[in-house]
Parts: sequence; structure tokens; C-alpha cells
Amino acid sequence: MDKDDSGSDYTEYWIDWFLGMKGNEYFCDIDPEYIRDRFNLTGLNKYVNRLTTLIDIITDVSVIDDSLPEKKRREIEDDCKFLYSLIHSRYILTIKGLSQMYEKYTDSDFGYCPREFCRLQPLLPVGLSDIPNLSTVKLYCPNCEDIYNPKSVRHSRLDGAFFGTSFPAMFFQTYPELIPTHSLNIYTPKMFGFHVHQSAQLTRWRLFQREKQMKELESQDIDIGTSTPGGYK
Amino acid sequence: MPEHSVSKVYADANEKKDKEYWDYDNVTLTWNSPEQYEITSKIGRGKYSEVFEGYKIPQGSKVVIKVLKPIRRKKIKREVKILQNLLGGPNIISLLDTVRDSVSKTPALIFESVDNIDFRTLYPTFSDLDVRYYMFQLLKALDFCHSMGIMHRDVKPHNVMIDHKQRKLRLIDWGLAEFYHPETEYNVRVASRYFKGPELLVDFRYYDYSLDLWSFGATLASMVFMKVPFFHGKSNTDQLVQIVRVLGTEDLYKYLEKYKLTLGEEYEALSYFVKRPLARFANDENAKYVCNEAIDLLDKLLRYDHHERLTAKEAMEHSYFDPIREMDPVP
Repeated sequence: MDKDDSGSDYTEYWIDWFLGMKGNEYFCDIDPEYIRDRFNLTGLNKYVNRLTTLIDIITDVSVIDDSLPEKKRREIEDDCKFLYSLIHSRYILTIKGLSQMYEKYTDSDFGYCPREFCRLQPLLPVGLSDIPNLSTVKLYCPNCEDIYNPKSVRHSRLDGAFFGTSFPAMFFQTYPELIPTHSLNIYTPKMFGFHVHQSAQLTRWRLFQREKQMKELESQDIDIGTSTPGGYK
Repeated sequence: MPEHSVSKVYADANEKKDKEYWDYDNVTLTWNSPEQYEITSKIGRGKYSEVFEGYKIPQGSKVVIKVLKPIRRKKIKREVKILQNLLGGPNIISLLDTVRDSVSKTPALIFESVDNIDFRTLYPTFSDLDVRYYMFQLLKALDFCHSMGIMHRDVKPHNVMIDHKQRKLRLIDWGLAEFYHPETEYNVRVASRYFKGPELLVDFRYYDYSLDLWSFGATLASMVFMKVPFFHGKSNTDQLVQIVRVLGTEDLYKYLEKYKLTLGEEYEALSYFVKRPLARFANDENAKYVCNEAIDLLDKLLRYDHHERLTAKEAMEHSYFDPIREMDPVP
């Protein structure tokens, strides 16, 4: 497909062009209605100038003025991308946004957890700050409940604020059935087939504590098994 | 062609036993899972293995885990078969288990653990009687394995584990050990340089158990004279030179003549050395260990001609060990 970086390809919608760019695979398609509703953009004028012009370009109401010098056009284009990305972090917390991210999550668009015991658990993007330019995007694994740096450089350069700190938690509040049952495996180092005694001892202690805890929960009729999302198997 | 030679003692030890006893190439080893053993720390490394300290789970008993590097199956079988044959013998390290990881197939031998202190630290703390006691224990191990038709071929302080608190000695590392069959040529690339007997250095392949008595003698000499190692060769060639500097050239040539041996080219420039009486190695520092009995025993062990060397049993009967035999009578 023809991908013209200057944005002068009128046959394509701006958002489609943006989403089709390499490295933007984590973003979802924001409903233009949401972008045009100024209420949703409160406070974003702090980050970009000429908010209205930018919105018009993003939603294909107008295009970047051809008579402007190249440098200026480039500046406006970058502002458009930045604004779209900032709106994105708000949009993905809405019902519509969440359902779009649901599709992307079930398609594993954000990759898989690199941890062996997570058995190719799909990941979700998350920011460590809601203010842009502070940290890059991380990937959250709902199985090991840890975060990872994206594998590809294109993704690891994305700003975390484009996804926000609340997204994964909000996502699993909305779709609790998607919370995986945690695997109970513990990795213990081995040499020539022998466990390393210290780690093996720690593993035994952890297993013992878990057993104890499970018995206690069972005695209180609390289900910890596979029937509870986020339970253990 | 060198003369053949047959051991003075236990020459037919293996022939008296069933073929399964010594025919190690045809044994089938059984391997257990390494699951019940865990490594705590590395305690040694050899050419053929990595050695770790560890525990048996769940008993929590201490063990030594010897992980074998990729070596010929035949060599593994030989070591295991020998360890099994000698199991329970006096001062022989006990093989507790043979395990192998089902995936990597890395074999490992599980041994009893000995609370050993490095000999360089431990030996200087010994009294004269301690030296006699432990060397007597080592002879017990050697006489036993020889009587069982097995030569150790790597006797040296590193392979003698001593738990001084329990006064327990164990002869370890049977990786080079071999079954003795008379009239058989053996590889001379065995033992560690400082403890190599003259037969290995002059490429005399019909050696026997008496090789161990040379190594034992070199070990005892290093303890008695506090000279570690006693024969300090810089290379295999130089090792023989160091021996000749003490035992003299004359006896070397007598020995070579007796067995129709010729020295290699590397010894062309070998100078003439007069035999040095061992008593000359006595000094103020080692006075507490040196005595006439010790010197006499060493003199009868450190002989070029392996037939002249005392056997393990004879060495145990030597007057140097009188005070030990009084405490620890042997049948």
C-alpha cells in the first residue's frame, strides 16, 4: 500500500494513515465523534497550539495548508500525531475504547509475556506516568503481574502517557473474565540436572506457605481455583 | 622389547573372580534421577569432572556430587564398577548413588561427604603420630584395593580426604583406577606429575599395583620432610631428572638394564648423579617428623624397580607403624 509520509495522500483518512505507520500498532482507531467533542479534550491545549486546526486535520475536515513552508507543515503534522496520542490515553478508558482494545488484546497486538511460565500470555500497554515526556510505554502481563519493555525499538520509544497509568487495571475491571488463572510454577535454577540447594529451599518454603494459605482460604470457603478469574491453578 | 613383569602380590586377584567383577565394559549401569540431590557449592574441579557439595533431600544429609564431563562411556563404567567393587572397603570413599539427568544425560556420582581441610593447611598441624596414623590408614585402603585387583593410579595428597576431627581418612577419585591383569600393558599417562613413578616416566607399560606405592612414598616423603612436593619436576621429563637427583644415576641404569628399557631422546643430556641418602633431607624444621624408621621406610618405597618396593601390606608391617599397630591391630 502506498504510504506517503507527507500526509498529502487525500485518498486516505488521516487516522488510517496514522494507524498504518510503522510503530503505531499499539494505537486503536479513535471514534472521530470522541475527538470532536471538545469536552474530551479539556486541558490538552496545554500541550499543543491551534487545537481546533489540529482536530480538523485529524478528523479529515481539512488538510494541512499546502502554501505553508515545509518546516511549518511538518510541525503541524507532529502536533496532530501528538494530540491524537494524548486523546488516545483518554479514549481507551471509555467503553468504546476499551472494547477496541479488547479486540487488539485478543489478537495479541501488544505481544506476549516473555516469561516462560506465563505461556505466551498476551500483554497490555501501560504508562508509568500520565504526563507525557517522562517515560516510555511498558507492557503489563496479567499473569505474572509484572511489566516489561517492548521488544521492538519502534514500540519502546512510544510515550507511556499515550496509554496512561490506569488502562490495564481499568481493562480488567471491565473484562474480569479475561484475567488469567495464574500458573503456580516456580523456576528453580539447576546445574547438570541438580537443583541449587539454596533456591530449592526457598522454593520449598514458598510452596509450603502457599499450601498453608490455600488451606486457610479453603477453610473460609474462599474459592482460589480456576473458577475465579485471577485465581490459581 | 622391554621385559614383561608381573606383580609380586595379588597378581591373579581378578582371574579368581567372576568375569562380571572386572569386565567393566559389559556392565549396564543404572541411573537414578538427580531429583533428590541438590548442589550447595563447588568444591573442586578436575580434568574429567566438576565436584560439588550438596544435600540429599529430604534427609538433609551432606553428600559430594561429582558431575562427570563428557568422557568415554567406558571410562565412566570403569570408575563406577571399581567404586562398586570396593564399596565398604577400609578408607575407600563410598559411592552412594549414580544419577543422570534424563534430558542432558550428564552422569554424576554421589559420594559420602568428608569434612576435609586442604592438605596444605592441615598437614603442617599434624604431629609425628598423626602422620603415621593417616599414612597407615592410606596403606589400608591401598592394600585393600590391591587385594581386590585394582590399582588406583592417582595417589596424591589431593586425593586423600581427611576429617581430622573424626580421624577419618578416605581415598578418593577412582577415575584413573584400573583392574590389574598380569602381562598387560597399561597407559603410562596416569597419575599426577609429582607422584608419577619412574615406570611411567621411562614408558614401562607392564606396571602394577606397586605404582601406587611409589606415589604413596612420594606423598609420605613430602610430609616427613615438609617438602611439598618431594619430587618437584617442571615437566614430565624433568620429573625423572628430579627423581634421579635423589636416587642417583647408577640405580636408574641398573633398573633400565633389568627390564631392557631405553631412555627417550629427551634424556640424552642426563648428567651423572650420586645417590643422596634420604637422611640429608632432614633439617631443623622437619625434625619432629624425621626418624630412622621413617627414612628406612621411604628408602624401601622410593625405588626405581617396582619389584624392590615394599607392597602395601609389607609397608604396614614396617617398624615406622609400630605405634599405630599397637593402637589399631590389623588381622
